[in-house]
Amino acid sequence: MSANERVTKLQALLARVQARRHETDAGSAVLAPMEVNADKPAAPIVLEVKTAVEVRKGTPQVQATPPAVAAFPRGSDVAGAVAEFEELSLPPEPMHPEVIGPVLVATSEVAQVVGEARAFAPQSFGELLAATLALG
Amino acid sequence: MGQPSFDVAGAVVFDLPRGAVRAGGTQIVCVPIEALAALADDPRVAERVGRAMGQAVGKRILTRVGSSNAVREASIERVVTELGAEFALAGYGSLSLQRWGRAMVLVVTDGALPDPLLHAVFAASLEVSTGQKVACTTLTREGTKVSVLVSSERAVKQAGDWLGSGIAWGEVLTRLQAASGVS
Repeated sequence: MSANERVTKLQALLARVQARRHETDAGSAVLAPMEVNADKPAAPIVLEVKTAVEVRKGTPQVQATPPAVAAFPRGSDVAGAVAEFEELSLPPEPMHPEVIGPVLVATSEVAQVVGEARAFAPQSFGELLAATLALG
Repeated sequence: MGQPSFDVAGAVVFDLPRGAVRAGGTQIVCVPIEALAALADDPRVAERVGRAMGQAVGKRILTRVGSSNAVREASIERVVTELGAEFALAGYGSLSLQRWGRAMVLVVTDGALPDPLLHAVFAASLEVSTGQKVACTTLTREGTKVSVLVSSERAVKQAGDWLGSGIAWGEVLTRLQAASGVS
């Protein structure tokens, strides 16, 4: 293995460790603050059903999102980190460039609202239900 | 804190001598998917049948969790597990929940229900279990996966209008949050 390959491998490993630490710091994926940019829709947090019928195991999946990359400093192996997330689950659809439109990013008011949605971290099902019912 | 779990023991009982099937103490029947699909051709029938199916789901969740207040105060994981287990037992599909900012999106993979039935099942099961009126609309259907927005009737209508005009569903979710001006 060449020196460059070793560096690349180490960077990818570091990115994976950072990604896992990021999830651990949040306590659990479901309660992690949303990573919402003003120019992109919020990324989903996925709760997989854990039942005796549904024999899936492991931590709830966090879908790959460009904002997740922001957790990594410049110069780190972002590509490796993205690949790590993509291994878990692909996003339901690609981010649409039209989301980055003037209607959505032109005013600080909209950016503020999206930022508030980003910080939203419901502690109960009822809290999330009330929030989704208040939309529109 | 441990992961919520669901004990399936006795959840569905096949009483062969009596020729009966029971779920949560209520008698049910096994119906071919084609029969449900045929019902969904008529929106009013689909609404009534779907709501009856959803109410049964909601009642069983309510029985296990205790009360509407308890369901609302439960963790998101707990409620998703309860609802997902009901879906799995009934053969409605594999359920997960996505949170897009403040928007709740329920995702069913390998589902068996046509959209009108699915919306009614979701709405009624959540109404019965939480005591709050909700409305649902499909945001996207990709292969065997369907994503359903849960919100108010007004927001769901607005979302439907935006989707109908060709706006991408991700942007619809963003617009709903901006339109609500939540703080």
